[in-house]
Amino acid sequence: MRKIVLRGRKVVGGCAEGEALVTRERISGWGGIDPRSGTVIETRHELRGISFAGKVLVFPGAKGSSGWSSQFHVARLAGKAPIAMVFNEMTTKIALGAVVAHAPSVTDFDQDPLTVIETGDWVKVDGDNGVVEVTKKA
Amino acid sequence: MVQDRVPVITGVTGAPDLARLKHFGAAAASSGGVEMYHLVGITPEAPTLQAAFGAKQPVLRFSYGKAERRQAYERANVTAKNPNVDFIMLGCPHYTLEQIGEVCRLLEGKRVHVNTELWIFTPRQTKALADQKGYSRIIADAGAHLMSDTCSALGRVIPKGTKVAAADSAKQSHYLPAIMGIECWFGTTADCVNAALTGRWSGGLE
Repeated sequence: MRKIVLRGRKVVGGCAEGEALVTRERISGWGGIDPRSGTVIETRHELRGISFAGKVLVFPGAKGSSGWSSQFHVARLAGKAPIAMVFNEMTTKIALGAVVAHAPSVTDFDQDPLTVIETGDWVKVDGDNGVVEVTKKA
Repeated sequence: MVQDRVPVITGVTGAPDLARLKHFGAAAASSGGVEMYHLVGITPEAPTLQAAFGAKQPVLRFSYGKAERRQAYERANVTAKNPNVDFIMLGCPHYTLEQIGEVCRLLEGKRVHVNTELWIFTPRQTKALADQKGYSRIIADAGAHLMSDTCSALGRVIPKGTKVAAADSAKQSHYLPAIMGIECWFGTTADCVNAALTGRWSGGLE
């Protein structure tokens, strides 16, 4: 199994590992996800109908309403939040969202996670050290 | 396209009123992530193009013409297929007194179609003024409803059995189909009131 290590900056500490769910499209929190199931609901989104519950969510960043964090908070209360987050663009929306989701999160990488990581890869996120270890599925 | 960057828009002729600025900001913030924008010659920090950018240079440039307008209109209407409209939602973001007045001019002396519901949302302070001006009476007499402090997307409340909605807000027509699993037309306020009166969507791009 091929392993790749990405180094970035800690957003939320802690360690978690799981299967990656990757999108090249930014995610809208309020009105873009159903927090009760962790499913993306935005009409034209490439992940529409797919749940990030229990996955390592790999995405460019947040968009839309400033209520972004509230929806990820509800997702966590419902047990449907991502177990970790890996993203490119730091914003106020995503920073608070990562904290309230209690998801180990890393950003500002030495390589683009959207190029390196594919859906289904096994990803270990070490938030404390800002290290993300990717085991390619094939 | 813009995402969370700050767009500087040139070529807007005439001063847009508050309602237009409100609808533009709401649409740009909900499908994208725009938290601030400049309209050259209109918004206070952009008396000129140079003043809007300061020492910075634009990172991307887009042009907006007839084709882009058509494309944006079609994208806002992407969920809408069925012309039989069950529900018209106005007041996203919450209507100003002037917007309520505009609807009343279109609605006065008429009745909302038996197959449709027209709901209008406004802050409760504005509703108090609408009560005093007689707008609330005109709306009630037409069989429509003026409500406060919530919206159909936020409250997840639509008339029972609604399959097709219409709104004059790109923000609402973006959120409502995703949240409620229904179709939603997007058009002008007049298109929406017309749909409320006839039960059919006949709006289109001028």
